[in-house]
Amino acid sequence: MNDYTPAERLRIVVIAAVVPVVIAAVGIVVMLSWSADLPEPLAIHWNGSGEPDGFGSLPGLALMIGGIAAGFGAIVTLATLFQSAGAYTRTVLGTSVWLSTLITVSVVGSVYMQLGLADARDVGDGAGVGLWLLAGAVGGLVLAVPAALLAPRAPFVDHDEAATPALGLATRERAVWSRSTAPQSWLFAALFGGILLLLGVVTVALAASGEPYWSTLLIAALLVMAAVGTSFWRVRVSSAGFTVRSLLGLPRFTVPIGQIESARVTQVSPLGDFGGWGVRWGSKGRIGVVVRSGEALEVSRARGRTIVVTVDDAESAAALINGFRERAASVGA
Amino acid sequence: MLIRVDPASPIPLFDQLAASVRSEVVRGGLAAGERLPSARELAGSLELNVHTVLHAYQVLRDEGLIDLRRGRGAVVTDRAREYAELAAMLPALVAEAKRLELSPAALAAMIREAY
Repeated sequence: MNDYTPAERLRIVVIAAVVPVVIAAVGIVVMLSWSADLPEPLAIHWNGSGEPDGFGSLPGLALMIGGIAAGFGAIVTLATLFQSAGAYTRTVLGTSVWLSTLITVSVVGSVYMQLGLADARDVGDGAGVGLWLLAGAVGGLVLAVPAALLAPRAPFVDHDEAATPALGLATRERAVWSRSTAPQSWLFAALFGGILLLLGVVTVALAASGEPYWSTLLIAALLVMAAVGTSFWRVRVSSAGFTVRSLLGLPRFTVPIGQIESARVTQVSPLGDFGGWGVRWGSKGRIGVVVRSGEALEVSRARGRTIVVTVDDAESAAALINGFRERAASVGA
Repeated sequence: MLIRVDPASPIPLFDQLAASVRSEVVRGGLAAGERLPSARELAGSLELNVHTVLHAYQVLRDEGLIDLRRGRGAVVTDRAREYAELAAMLPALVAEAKRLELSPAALAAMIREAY
């Protein structure tokens, strides 16, 4: 949790959810007002050589804009209100405004290009779409930067705890620590729900235009694999060193014991410290394997980046790493 | 889950391993439903013979603390909760033994006799 005042909480809701949804709503209203002068189906995707190769309906596009703005806005708002704040909080709030502007401007722009056409295939040139995308990205920045600056400054706590005391190990003693780590179930359910919603919207849009949707299913399968691969991990500490490995085998991070400088327990706010969940670059140049908020193991290396993994019982893991280091040092001395 | 064994101790390695799993259950480092590493993996990390680990797992299975299933590995059973209740009674016992300046071995001997 954090200690935002009620006024600051209101400001967070406005920036992360209300503004993005209003931007999307304006775009949807404008698009719908053109409906009499638009071809059916509309071109919604262009291939590399600038030819339209995907077609869909106006309601499908409206649903997509609204869904993305509302869905992303809701996740960012809830996560910001319930997690402790960190260096990334304001960037994430600005991103909600940016994403909504980018999607709205580029989609509405691509529809505007088809105004007055009888057949969407005549829209031709993909360069116009590229310009609208660029306009969306730049326009998004113009709105997102002030939004991020207006966001409340984080009342954030710096978790600079000392290194965890070493576990006393006998000269010949052998030890291993291992633990699996996974998101809180609601988070994973939200992620899965999001993917399924996206899949549903795209499939409906494609079915309406009579396109084959095997490629959508392939992308969905890849998304599900990526979600599983970055959500479930096994963390291990042995005399060889520290390893964190995805349930799918990859990705994996390994630090040999000789390269570890020290280990400690820390507290992680996914959004505040790492700008989200998964494998991330975080504040202070750390690499994070972040699947939930709270207790985490932080392993710093003599050379190379510090690795942070959100895992329960991080205390024992840190104590064991420091125990191996201490014993090696005393044997060497 | 933190597992420690010391080859320098007179207690057999399989016994130390089983005791280590038991104390993790009591400490909360291993919960009911959780899966232990495969015998091969654990043997590798602890530089033990696979048979030593399997022996420890069999002891724990016979006492009902873990389930051994082909293909699923070793899974901690619901008995883990009861172990935690038993463990909650220990601090009072140990405190009383300390007040009387009894060694851990003497207290263990008293418990053995009471059986």
